[in-house]
Amino acid sequence: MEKIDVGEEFYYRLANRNNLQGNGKHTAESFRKKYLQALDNEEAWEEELSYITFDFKNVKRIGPSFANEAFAYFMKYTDPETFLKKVVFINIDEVDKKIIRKELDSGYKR
Amino acid sequence: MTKFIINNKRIFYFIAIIIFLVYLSFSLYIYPWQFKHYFLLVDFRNYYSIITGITGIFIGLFYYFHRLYTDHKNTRNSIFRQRLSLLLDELNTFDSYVDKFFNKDFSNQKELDAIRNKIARSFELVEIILKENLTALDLTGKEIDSILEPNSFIDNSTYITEVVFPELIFADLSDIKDAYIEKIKDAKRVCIIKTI
Repeated sequence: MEKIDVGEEFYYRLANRNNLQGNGKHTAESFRKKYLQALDNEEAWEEELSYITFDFKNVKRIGPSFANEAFAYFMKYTDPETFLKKVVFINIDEVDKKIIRKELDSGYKR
Repeated sequence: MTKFIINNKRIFYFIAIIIFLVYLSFSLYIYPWQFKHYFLLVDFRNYYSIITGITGIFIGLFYYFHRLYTDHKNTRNSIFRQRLSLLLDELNTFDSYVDKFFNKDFSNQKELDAIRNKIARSFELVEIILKENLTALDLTGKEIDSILEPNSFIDNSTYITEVVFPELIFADLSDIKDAYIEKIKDAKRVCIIKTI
């Protein structure tokens, strides 16, 4: 299982959904394509084994639209519980975890 | 020790009462395990001054620790209210910037970007207050969700975060505004209910 230090390997501010938001850099779309591309199909969700671990120790902020685009996008294939078994978040702040969970529960908004 | 007593007030009072009763019984030459003697204060007058003195000390100690506990509780409540008030202030600031957006208080793309930036930055302060005081504020999961909801709504709205100035100036935002008002009201309601 792959482990990613998101703050170091991607960026410490996870705020932009796409290149139309904010400064248009370090977007959720690029994050999803970089780390979660293999999960973008029905077959990938047939088994619940964990696929990737995101370490949030160096992440300063995650915005709702980023969480929605990067993670809630997969709600068309699965449910929040299964998603959180397959994609594991560690060293994540309680409020950030709530933001992600909220977006997973409310579903993809595009 | 003080902290222990504050956190275990009832245990302290119970122990203090037991010690006092034991002392009282010995001072009257009766044994504490002979329960019936507690009601027979024989020759009370011979021990009047000693018992009065010790009782005074116990009452003084009771008063002191009760006062300590009450002061501690009041300080804790005061800090709790200050933090909630701060949270409400920041939600109001966030709301004022969102209001500027809905009132189309911008005349070019640069001013629109500035308002969008202020909206995003102001809610970061709300998140910081929540992160630093999550235990102290004693919020339930549902209450945290209510506070986070307005920003989730704003941040996920294409109109509010993405659409460019010329298109936005003619767009009808009344439905989005009404939905937002209900969400920010719920978030503020959490702070108000907790403060009362």
